[in-house]
Amino acid sequence: MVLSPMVTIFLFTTPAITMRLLADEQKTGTLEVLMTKPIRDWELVVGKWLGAMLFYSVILLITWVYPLILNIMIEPGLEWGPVITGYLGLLLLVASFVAVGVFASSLFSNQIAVFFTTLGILLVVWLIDLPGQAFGGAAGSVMQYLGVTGHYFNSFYSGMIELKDLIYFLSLTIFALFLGSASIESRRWR
Amino acid sequence: MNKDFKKFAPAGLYLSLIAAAVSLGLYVVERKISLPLQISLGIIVLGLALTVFLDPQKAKEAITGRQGRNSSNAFLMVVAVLGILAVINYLGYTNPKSWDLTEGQKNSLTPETIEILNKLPSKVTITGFYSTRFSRETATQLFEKYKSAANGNFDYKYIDPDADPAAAQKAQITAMERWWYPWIAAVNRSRTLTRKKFPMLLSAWQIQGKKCVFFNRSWRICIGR
Repeated sequence: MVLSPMVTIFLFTTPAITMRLLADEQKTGTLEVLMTKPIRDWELVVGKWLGAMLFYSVILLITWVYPLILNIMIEPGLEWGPVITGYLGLLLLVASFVAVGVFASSLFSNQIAVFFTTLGILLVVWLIDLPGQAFGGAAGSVMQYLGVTGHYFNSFYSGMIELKDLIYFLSLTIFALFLGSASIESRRWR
Repeated sequence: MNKDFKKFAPAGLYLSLIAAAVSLGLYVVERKISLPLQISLGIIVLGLALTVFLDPQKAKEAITGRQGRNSSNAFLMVVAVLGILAVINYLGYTNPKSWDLTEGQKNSLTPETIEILNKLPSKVTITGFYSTRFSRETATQLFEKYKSAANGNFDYKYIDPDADPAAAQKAQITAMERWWYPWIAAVNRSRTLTRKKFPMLLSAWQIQGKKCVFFNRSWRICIGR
């Protein structure tokens, strides 16, 4: 299925896509102009996130050509349940990745610093379940729960929608966007 | 304090941060307050003290000034949001709800399995001989499904056959089975285990008169003398 490699591709492309979002505004000084506009800080952050999400949604929409062709080519056609859940999960995963990117972008004016910070955070949530397995116990369980891949591959990718996975991705997105808003807000008193 | 020394004040803060990260890592690995952890904790305090000593004015401002108040407010907000999200995630984790969109509901337990689990006569614990080199996620997911269907009469635990070879040997788990699929091996070789250990399998066997019980479409547990 085309979705599995796309997850890995998004892990490395999201930092590149999001690194300019707020960092460039800070570097060119247009962030100050934006902050004088009648919009709240969180609206600015969510707006940037929505912009990047629109870009990713278009990319995901284009990839629908593969299951559609497959559906025509094979008999008795494709099983659509796992395809729909796979794409839904991918959208949620990308939403959380982009939110992390927006947060990192709010921290620095240097795009390279943003890129590596985003990549670092994403790699941590990508791999944290591995040491979690070795440690065991409550800490190990928490680390395994925090791992992002299990929440996608064990449910959405297998044709399941699990409440805990929905909550996980939404929580990660909301928390990263909240941190981004707090970071922008802190510019007013720092 | 000499102005020349003031510029080194942030170094103490960085030292504390690094020491805090090391302390966390040490505690996660060792799970005890060992000597290296104590030294690391000491370095955190030392780093903070160094920062205050080198630039007391800034340290005072950071705590009592406008910036300090705003920082603490922002910190409290972050902690509050994190706490709320943690509670929501915990509730979602402990109250599993899922929708299986596959054809024939491949990922769900069959009605027969649910019936067996509902009729368990007493508490059953399955032991999965599972090396930490492999992900337990798939096994745990399946066991969690059993657990939620068994009305508190089902539980599971894992034994790492690499860490506890004696237990693996007792259950006759071979090295090859450990390598391929440790936990399935343990379950499929249940013929070597006692009735006491697997009353659930026994009850399913007695109820249905079958030697093998299919727990869903792809996993099975067998029982025999």
